Amino acid sequence: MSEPTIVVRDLEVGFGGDPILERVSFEVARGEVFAILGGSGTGKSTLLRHLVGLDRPMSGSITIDGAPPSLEGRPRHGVLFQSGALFGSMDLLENVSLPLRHWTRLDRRSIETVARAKLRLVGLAGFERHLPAEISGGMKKRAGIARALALDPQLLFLDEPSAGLDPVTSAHMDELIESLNRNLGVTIVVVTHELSSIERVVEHCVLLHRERRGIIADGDPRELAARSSDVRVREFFRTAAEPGALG
Amino acid sequence: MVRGATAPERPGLSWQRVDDANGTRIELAGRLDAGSVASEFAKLGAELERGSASVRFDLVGLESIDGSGAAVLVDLARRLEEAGRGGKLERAVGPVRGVLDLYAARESPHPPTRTEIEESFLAEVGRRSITFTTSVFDAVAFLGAFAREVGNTVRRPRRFLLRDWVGQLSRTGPDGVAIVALVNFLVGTILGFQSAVQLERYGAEIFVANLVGLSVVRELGPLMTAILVAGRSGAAFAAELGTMKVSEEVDALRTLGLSPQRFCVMPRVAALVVSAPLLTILADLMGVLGGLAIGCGTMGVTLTAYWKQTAASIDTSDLVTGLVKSVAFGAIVGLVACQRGLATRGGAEGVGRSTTAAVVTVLFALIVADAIFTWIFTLYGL
Repeated sequence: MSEPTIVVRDLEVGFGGDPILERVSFEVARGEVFAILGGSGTGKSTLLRHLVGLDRPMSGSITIDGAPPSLEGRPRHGVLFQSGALFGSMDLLENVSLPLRHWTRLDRRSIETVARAKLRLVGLAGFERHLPAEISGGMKKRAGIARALALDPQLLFLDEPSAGLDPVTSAHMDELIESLNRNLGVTIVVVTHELSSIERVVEHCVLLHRERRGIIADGDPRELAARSSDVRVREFFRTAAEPGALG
Repeated sequence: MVRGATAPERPGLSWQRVDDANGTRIELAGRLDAGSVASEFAKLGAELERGSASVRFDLVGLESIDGSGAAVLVDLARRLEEAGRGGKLERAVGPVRGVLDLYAARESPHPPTRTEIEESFLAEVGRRSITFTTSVFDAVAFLGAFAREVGNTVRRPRRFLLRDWVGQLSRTGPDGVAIVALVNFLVGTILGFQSAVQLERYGAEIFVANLVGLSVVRELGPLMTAILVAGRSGAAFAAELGTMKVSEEVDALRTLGLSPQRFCVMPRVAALVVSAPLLTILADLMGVLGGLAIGCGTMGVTLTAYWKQTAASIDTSDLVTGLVKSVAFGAIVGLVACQRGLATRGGAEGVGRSTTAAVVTVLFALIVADAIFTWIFTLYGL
C-alpha cells in the first residue's frame, strides 16, 4: 500500500451527544478509489461530512496529508454532494467558474476557458448556459463533479454519485470516476452502495454497520464479498446485488 | 347465530356470527374492501372488542380483500390476540391469503405507543431546553462570524461582493417602493382622521400637522417601513437561505472555501442597511402627505399653512433619530432573517418553519429595539 493521504483514528461522530459511529479507524492510500459502504442509516454520509471538515468529530482524529480537514483558505479537495448542490441562481458555467474566480488570478476569459473545459470533461459541453433547474439529476451530478474539479484537487469526495440514476447514466458516472482516477491520478473517496460501481471502480473499502456503530470490514471489496468470514459482510454484498435493496 | 351485511346499495361483505363452546366464530363472506371496512366491518369490530369471548375469523367464504381491508382485519386480530381473546385468522385461501400474509408480515413488532411518548415528557423538556440553548449559542456565533466578516471587509474592501449587493439592493429597495408608499400614506390619513376628531373640539385643527408629522417621522415611518421590509425581504431571505441550506448549497459554498457570511449574509444585510432608510424617507413623506390630505381635505386647513406647520414642528433631530432607527431596523431584519435561514434543518417543512420564525422573531426584535431607541433618545433629550 502506498503512502496514506487520509488517516482516521478512533473517530467518534454523532449528534447531540449520541454517537452514530464509534472507534472508526482506517487509511486511504494516495491515488486509490476508496469506498465507504453500508446500508441506509449507517452513517456513511455523516462520516463523509467529517472527512471534508463540514462537521467536527466528538473524539478521535482525521488527517488529510498530515493536517486536520479545514474549510479555511483555498480548498485542498473537491466535494460532490448527493444532490449536486449546484447554485440555483447561476448557470453551469458560473457554477464551475465560482471557485476559479475566487481562488485563482486567472482573467475572465481564461476562467471561462477552464470552466468550459471542466464541463467538457464531464460530458456537459453545450450545456454551459443552462440553469441547474433545466437539466436532469445525472447532469447535475456531473456538473457538481466539474465544479469540484475546478481547482484541480488531488482528492475528491463523492457522496452517492450514482444514487437515483438509471443504469446507463450510472455506468457513465462509473466511467467518469475511473478515468479521473486513472488519467488524473486523483484519490477518490466515494460513498455508495451500488454494487456495479463497487465492483468496477473501488479498490479499497470499509463497510459500516448500524448495530456495530462502526466498521465491520476493511479491504478489497471483491475479496470481502468472496472470502469474508463475517456473515454480515457476505449478507451486505449479496443484498447489494439486488437493485435498490439497500435504499 | 347473528347475521350481518353491508348496505343493499353497496353489496359486498356479509358475515355470520356463530357462538360455540370455543368462543365466537365470525364467518366472513364476500368482499372486504375500503368501503365495507369504513361501514359495516367497523361496527362488527367495535362490537367484538366490547365482548369478552374468544374470537376467531373464518375467512374461507371471503372472495376478495384489498389493502385497507387486510390492514384493519390484521389490526383487529392483533388487538384481540393481545387481549388474550384469540384473534386467529383461519382458512384464508388464494389471493386473500396472499394479501393477509403480506400485511401480517409488515406489522411492526413494537410500534411506538402514545403512552411511551407521554412517558418521555421530561426527556422532551430536556431536549427542548438543549435545542433552545443551542439556538441561542448559534445566534451568538452567527453574530460573531458576521462581525468578523465586517472587520475583514473593512480591512479589505475588495472582499465586498458589489454585484451581489446591487442585486439585493434593487430587490429590497425599488421593488418595495409602491407598498411602502401606499401603506404609509394610509397610516398618515388614519392618524390625521383620529387626531382631527379630537383637536377639532378645541379649534386646534392646525395641530394635526404637528401630531402626524412628529409621529410619522420619529416612530411610524421607520417602524412601518421595517415591518413591511420584514414581511417582504426578511421572509424572502429566510426562505432563500433555508432552501440553500437544505439543498446543501451552503455546505457546497463552505467546501469551496467560500464563506456563507460573505456570499449570503453580507450583501443582503448591507442592502437592507441602505434600502431601509431610503424607504423610510419615502415613508415619512407619504405619511405627512396622508395627514395633509385629511387636514386640507376635511378640516379646511390651507396647503401652505399645513406645510409650514409641519416644517415648524419637525426639526433635524427628529429626522436623524428616525433615520438612525431605520438603519438599525434594516440591519436587524437582515441579520435575523439570514440567521434563521442558515439555521434551517429538515426539508421543505424546515424552510417554512424558518421563514415563519424569521418574521415572528424580526417583528419582536423590532418592537424591542424601537422601545430601547425611544428610551435612549428620551434620556438624551433627542
